[in-house]
Amino acid sequence: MIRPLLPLSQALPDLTASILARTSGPACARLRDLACDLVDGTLPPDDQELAVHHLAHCQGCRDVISALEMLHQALPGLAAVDPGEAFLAGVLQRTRAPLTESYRSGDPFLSGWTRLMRRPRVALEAAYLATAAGLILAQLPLPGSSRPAGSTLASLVRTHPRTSTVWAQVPMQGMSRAVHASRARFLDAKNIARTSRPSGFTQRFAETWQRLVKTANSVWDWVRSKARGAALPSTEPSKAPSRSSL
Amino acid sequence: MEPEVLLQRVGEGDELAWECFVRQHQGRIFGLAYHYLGQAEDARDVAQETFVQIYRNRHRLPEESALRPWMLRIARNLCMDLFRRRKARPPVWDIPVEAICDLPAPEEDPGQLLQDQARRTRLHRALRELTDLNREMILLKDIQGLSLEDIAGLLNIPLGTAKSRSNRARLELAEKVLGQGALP
Ligand SMILES: [Zn+2]
Repeated sequence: MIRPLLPLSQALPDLTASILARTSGPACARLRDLACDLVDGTLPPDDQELAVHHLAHCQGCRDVISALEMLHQALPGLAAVDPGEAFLAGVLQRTRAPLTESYRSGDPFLSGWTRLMRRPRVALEAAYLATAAGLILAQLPLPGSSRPAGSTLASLVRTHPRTSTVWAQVPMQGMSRAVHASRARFLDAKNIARTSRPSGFTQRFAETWQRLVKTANSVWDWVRSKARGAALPSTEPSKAPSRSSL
Repeated sequence: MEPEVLLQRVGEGDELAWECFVRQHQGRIFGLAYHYLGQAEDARDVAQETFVQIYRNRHRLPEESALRPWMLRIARNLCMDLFRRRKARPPVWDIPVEAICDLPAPEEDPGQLLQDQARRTRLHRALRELTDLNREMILLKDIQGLSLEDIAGLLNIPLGTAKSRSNRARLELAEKVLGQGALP
């Protein structure tokens, strides 16, 4: 009895599959090796022809190629994620040009200083340090006196409220001498340090220090001239305008 | 404006050009950090630090074609520094898929939003099933679009290794996608 024939299109793949099963095994693994290059279009023509031939008969490999093509299209869309509205402002805040110029200078002292000054609390810290310095200075004894400058000044204000401004000049001059003496001592120490270790940092520090001393001196002179100018009218109550106001 | 002109303006210190530059690249830099770190807050910090470093080097920016690999390298190095500081690499991408999709890509067509979000959710789910090594290859090559040469340089591996790793990662991801039952 003759068995009914399978349609040719169905019979041949079955035959191919059974032959492959008895020889090399299915070619799917080899197709997977070439799949990415096939999707990227970088496969040599001969390999491409063979791959297309396999795909025509293998649903599993066609699915893999479809998935790879989909990924090729979709994955680049995941690259950019919105970081939120505040992000740009944060970056611009951290890259303000004047501040970063000193970063760029390569000077460790300057860039360190810039970093310090960028901190938002720096004003608070400066005020704290200034207050601390003021308190320490007020506790220093005046030359020729065992009492701290602060208490001398406070008692003057308490006992002679009207004339304390002119009297304040006396301890201030005393303090000026004290500051001057300590400055001289500091500068001597600096000179010793400079001669013993003449590095670039020392040189820079010395220059910075001299600038600071110069500024401090001019500020001190200004304060003294103001104190002297302000003291005059308070001691000669408004009979005639003072020379400074003419 | 041509990208080369924009880069030149950034190098000259033009604040408007810098703002434009940040806007252009922030999504990609943040995206890379986000995919590495899995936490939006850490990713923002890393992305911001990346831009600060770019700004410090604005006078010697690479040319346009080499710009993206250069920026992504900075961002990746910062991510790795963070991992080192944490002493251990956390389970990357171990974040709710929905959380990733809550951050839509910029300039999204509103009509496509839902459909794209669903697709992204499926993709992220498949990505999370990959090994760390394969996921990084997908992130650098297929998501961020770096060349195999750039990736080989970045990961300090031979070009052939980069290529075979990339192919393996893509095939693994394709099979994970198929394993979800339907193509996204
Ligand atoms: Zn096959």
